[in-house]
Amino acid sequence: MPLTKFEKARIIGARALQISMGAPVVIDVPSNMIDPVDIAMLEYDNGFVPITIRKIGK
Amino acid sequence: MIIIWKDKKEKVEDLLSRKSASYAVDFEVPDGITEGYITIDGKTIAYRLKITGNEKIRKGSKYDFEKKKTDLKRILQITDVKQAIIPISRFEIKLKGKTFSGSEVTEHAKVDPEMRSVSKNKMESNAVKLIEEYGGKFRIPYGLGVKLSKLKSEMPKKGFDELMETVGVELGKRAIDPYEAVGIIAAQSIGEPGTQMTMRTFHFAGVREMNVTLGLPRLIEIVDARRTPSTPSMEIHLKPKYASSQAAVMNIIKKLENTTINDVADIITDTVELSITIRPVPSDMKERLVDFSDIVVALEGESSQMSVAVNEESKELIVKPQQETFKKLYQVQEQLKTKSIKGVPGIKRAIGRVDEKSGEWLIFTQGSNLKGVLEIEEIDAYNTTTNDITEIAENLGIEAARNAIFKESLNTLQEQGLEVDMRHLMLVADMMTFTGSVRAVGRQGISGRKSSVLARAAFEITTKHLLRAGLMGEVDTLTGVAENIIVGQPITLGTGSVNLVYKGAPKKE
Repeated sequence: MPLTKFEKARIIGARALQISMGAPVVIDVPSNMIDPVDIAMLEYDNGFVPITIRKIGK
Repeated sequence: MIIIWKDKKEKVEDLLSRKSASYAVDFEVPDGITEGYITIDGKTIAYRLKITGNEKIRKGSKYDFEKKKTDLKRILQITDVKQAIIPISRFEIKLKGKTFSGSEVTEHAKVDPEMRSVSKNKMESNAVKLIEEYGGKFRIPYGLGVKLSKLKSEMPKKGFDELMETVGVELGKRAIDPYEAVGIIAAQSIGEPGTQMTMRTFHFAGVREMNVTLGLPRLIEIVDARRTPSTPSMEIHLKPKYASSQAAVMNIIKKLENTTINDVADIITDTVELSITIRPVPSDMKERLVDFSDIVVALEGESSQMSVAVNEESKELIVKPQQETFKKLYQVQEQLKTKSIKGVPGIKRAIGRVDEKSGEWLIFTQGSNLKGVLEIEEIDAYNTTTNDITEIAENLGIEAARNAIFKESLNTLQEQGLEVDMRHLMLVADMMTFTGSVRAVGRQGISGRKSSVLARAAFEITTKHLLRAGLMGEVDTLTGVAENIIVGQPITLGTGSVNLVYKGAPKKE
């Protein structure tokens, strides 16, 4: 099932926070790309963000 | 055959907790009854059950009762107790004429509602077919279905398939995601056009003094779920047989309009003789199609209050109160003035008009009494409506009330030339009715009856709610929006609703 816009935003946001605090980036990033949000989005689009959502137990 | 009886709530709840039970009752139950209905307040049926066995209690029977009650007559084997809320008025009840201690056995004529889908008939068959064809993949709104069904015949098959694919994608994009704050959007979308509404009332085509509240006052009325609207009115449709002839319509109008003695006769009070003379006015009687005997019949039911003497010669009625006091005389006089002879109670005035679109006669009324009007033979019960939402809820059920709230509010807004997406109004109508009864928006209804203490305290009368919650030891589970803002947590809407988990390192290929 595709993710909703909220789920997508939350995942990218969480990943961007990790990157901004110094987490290693898992894909090759162009040298001029320095915004953690842009990097997180690039990672997400390529399916490399190691985060998913949990729907059980709500 | 079925049986309806009145019972105590504790007993029914005990029955509910068991799968099947033997239940002793203190009234006779005829054999062959397979279904039972229990009412608690005498007005609505609250429970439905199946009766599988029914035997007479004889002395020294195998059943052992805690209390040795002697008036128990029958043992019923009861299974499948279910909650069901049905107004008793829905049943055509034929009393068998026997009253038992606190209970009544009734036999009812089979309820056989004629099912007819009103809306589907009016839909275009091509559009319905198209919607059903693609129903497995995505839901096409009816309006779009009409447009697409026209295109289908004009376009080549390949092109149409491509088009439908795009339609599917676009519809998917437009669907509301879960946890979208639709309530806020609806509130703003209705609130902003609401500021542009005028405060006028609309006069009913200038005919007599009939008018209907419209605009902002009407919208407030709908949303407040008032018991009766300030100008109750009905739109009565007639069966095709009667809808085209003016004479028939005029007859029905006469049947509808509530006629009191005061409308057709002079009421003269003699304070010396302590009597009241009713002197019918022939011209008024003819106009309202009332007979002298109608008045006599109408007064028959009041014999406990007054004695009526008929003077056949002068066609007069002389009424005397049972007790010869001035006070009683005055009371009887007031009673006579409002005594209705014929017509539907509550219908003050009825006006017939030809509908411009269909060319059929419609009757508009001042005053509303849905139940009374639906009992009239000539009326088309499927299309007759009232603007009294409570009345619709009582007579036709909660789903009808939901549709009435939706249609009334949509019409009120459209009348003023304001375009509000109907889904916002549907949300409001759903919120007002989903509990099974019509609730107002605001303190008395939705906002005032939230389950969370903090949410209620945030709305109005903070200290009262907090104090009460403290005294009662209420628990707040912090599931709503207002509660979480108060305690400083992310709210469970939008991105706040998402729980993240670590997926593990991405697989390297």
